[in-house]
Amino acid sequence: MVTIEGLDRDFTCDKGDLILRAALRAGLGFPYECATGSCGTCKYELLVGHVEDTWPEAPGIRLRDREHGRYLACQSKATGPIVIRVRLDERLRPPIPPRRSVATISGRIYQAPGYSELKLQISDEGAEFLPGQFILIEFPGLTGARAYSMSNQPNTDGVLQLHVKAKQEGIMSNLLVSESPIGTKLIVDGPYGHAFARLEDSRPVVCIAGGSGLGPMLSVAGALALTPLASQRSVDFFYGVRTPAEVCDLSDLRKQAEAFGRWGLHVAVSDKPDNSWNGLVGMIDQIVQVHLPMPWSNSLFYIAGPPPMVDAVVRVLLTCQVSHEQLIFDRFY
Amino acid sequence: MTFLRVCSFDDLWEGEMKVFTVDGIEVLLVHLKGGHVTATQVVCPHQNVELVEGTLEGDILTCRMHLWQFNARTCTGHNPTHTQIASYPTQIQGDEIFVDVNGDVPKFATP
Repeated sequence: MVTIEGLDRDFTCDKGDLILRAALRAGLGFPYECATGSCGTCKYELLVGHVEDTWPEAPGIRLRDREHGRYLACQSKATGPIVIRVRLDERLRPPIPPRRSVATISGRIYQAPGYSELKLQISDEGAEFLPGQFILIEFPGLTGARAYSMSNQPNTDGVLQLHVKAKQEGIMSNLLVSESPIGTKLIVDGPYGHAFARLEDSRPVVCIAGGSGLGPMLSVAGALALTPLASQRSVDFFYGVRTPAEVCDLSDLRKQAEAFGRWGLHVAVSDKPDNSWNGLVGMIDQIVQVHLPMPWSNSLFYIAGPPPMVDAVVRVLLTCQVSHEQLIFDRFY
Repeated sequence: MTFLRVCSFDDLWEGEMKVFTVDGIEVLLVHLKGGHVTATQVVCPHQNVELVEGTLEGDILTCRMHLWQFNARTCTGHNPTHTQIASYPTQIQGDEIFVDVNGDVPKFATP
């Protein structure tokens, strides 16, 4: 049982559930962002009781936090009744409370070297999420969870599609990209994330994807194309990778985009390519600066990709007088 | 108004910011160019992230998380503009910095 100081309701953590996840399952507006120990947003102060720290070396928590009795809610479990101090925010209440389920790897499309589009089949329920959100994957035998965004649309068939890039030291990403056979069972927990599509917002949309950030941007653009507003909507889609070989198949996106009133697709590579590449060349933040039609002051920006790319893009947009209210992205480290 | 001693200028050089606990309340002290000292809240008004982990360029304090920016001299939002950060009254006596930690409360905002 977890009691939040000053709040008139408690919530329970089932079978050693992590405090953050249990709070969100209970529908509370508990602050968080990465849900994987890196960002530090879900810090709370332990007032009474004891918790088990599942990742003491997590980058999201500092020595000074320890000295003040603070823990990461995404990396701690209650070992008995506890009282914590944290500032909840009504606006952060999960639109869909996350659930934990078993899923099976049911398909895999190799998109580029070390990069796959993975299909997971949830065993007992539909795939409920908002376009742009992510799930946490736990692999039997591996500690910790990894976050992956969905690239498809929510559906009743229980299918989750994810874009996964193999990281050099990333055991799980390598398992997902190629090593784990079809039929492998894993745990999925979600949906999480605040960077979901605002479908009722009629402003021009700019999607900016770097690398495997393409996944959530495909989901967002696909969802926008399905709304009645689509024919009046202007959408610019920026997609940056390092080399031409890393560019994923965009044929579905192009087809969906026929629904938009105005559409611009801008694909760029950052490494100097050979002569066979006739697209844009440059870092995606610079490409946006040069190729995004003005004005920017009335657009809504969705951004997803590796942390340095997201950082660079946000800095460029802020320099160009875009306001924070126009930016939608989740911060990972 | 009760001003309590927090530190001396030896502990907080020009261009630096640090968190101190004063009378059980955490405050962020920012020493701006020209000798001005701001005492403000520890976490960003946006989310539960400490401003001291961000960057200070001139008077502009940028949170590391979503790059929200504040003017540390005026304690107002730079981008987004509709925000503000707490401004605790300060007093300088010689080399010593004093703060009234009950003189304001942390502010919170959403985009």
